[in-house]
Amino acid sequence: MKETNTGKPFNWKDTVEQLNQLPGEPAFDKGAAWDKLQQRLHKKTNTKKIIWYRLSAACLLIGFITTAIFFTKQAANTVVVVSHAKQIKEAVLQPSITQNENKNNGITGLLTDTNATIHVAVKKDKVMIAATTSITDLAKVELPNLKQKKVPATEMKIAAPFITDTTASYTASASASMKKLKIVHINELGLPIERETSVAQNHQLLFLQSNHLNNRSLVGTQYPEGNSNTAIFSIKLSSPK
Amino acid sequence: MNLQQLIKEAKQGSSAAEKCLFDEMADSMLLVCCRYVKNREDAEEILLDGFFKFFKNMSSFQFQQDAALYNWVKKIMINECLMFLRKKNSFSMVTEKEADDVALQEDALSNLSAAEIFSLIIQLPVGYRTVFNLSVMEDMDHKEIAALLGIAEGTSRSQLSKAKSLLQQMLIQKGVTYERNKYR
Repeated sequence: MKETNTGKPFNWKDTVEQLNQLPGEPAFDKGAAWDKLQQRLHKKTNTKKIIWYRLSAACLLIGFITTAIFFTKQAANTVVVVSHAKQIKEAVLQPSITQNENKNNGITGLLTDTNATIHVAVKKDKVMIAATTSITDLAKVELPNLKQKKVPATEMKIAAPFITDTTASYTASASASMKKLKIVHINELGLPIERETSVAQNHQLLFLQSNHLNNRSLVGTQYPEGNSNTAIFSIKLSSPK
Repeated sequence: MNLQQLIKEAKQGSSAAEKCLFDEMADSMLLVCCRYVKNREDAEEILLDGFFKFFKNMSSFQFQQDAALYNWVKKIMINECLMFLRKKNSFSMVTEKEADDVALQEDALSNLSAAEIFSLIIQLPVGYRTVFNLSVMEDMDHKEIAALLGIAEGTSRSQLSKAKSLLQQMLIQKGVTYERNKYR
């Protein structure tokens, strides 16, 4: 230790900055450190590039998935145009409908006129809709699980219709709420389609809810065939007053 | 080649210029890092992080003079060190009542070599050392230190006082005389 007395205030900063390297430590290997730093500088650039590639790939994948889902949904929501009872069989035979049944557990129908009676045939797990005339009102019809015998009066839920206009097409769907129902031709049941509730006798009477449907009323009647899994409904869509 | 020319070339993407700048400043910056972070490996890692940021942000730097460049790089290094210490939760500073200000006998200190002074500083606990470095070595006032470290000004003052007290004790062990001044 030196014994000097300068009389000046001690300057820590200047004293410490006189040091060239760490005391008692090996010299700093600048070459190795530079290599590391250069690698890091280079690596970071590559990482940025990779991130952009990944982002692009992710965007493409999301786009592809969205498109796939969109088209799958379109396929699933295959519209069954059933304006006359005669067409039911033909419609059921279409492969797209079979696919629709498998996926959506129901049938989708396009209804295209104001005054119409829709016949809904239910046998086992299948549902079929027919309209005597074309109609414009559209409703999503959810059929109850007919196997639930404990329910005293089975309800048929009809969602509110879309606002109609003359040019637009609308979609109505009927689906079993609990179980997929088999679609059969209405003639296969061999039963008259009437709106007499008395014909139902000992069987459950199905009520249709949401009777407003743009001031049009719906009435539904079940006609069982002795088989608890079979039923027929008639839905009347009357013109607004 | 002077620093201005090196900066100009480095801005244009010259790797050789970057290396020259690194070689020029690495030693002094490592010392700065070691003053804040005791561990040599950590200090070297911080040095690389600091230079990485320096090279990445070089385009925004307007060269005026060598000292300004050194100060800028030094500031980057100090910030990196503080970030590192924060991550490690090294600051365990609680608000304490201000301790008596301690004045070390400057004549005695001037008898110490730079290496001895450096050794004394890095022997301080991390909280004391950080405040001491910022206050004494970087000439920051307590308000700035408090804002930088997220502590109260009083805490900064007390940490500095304690750092100086501890340095006194170390100096006693080294046989250096000291005096104690009470301001309150």
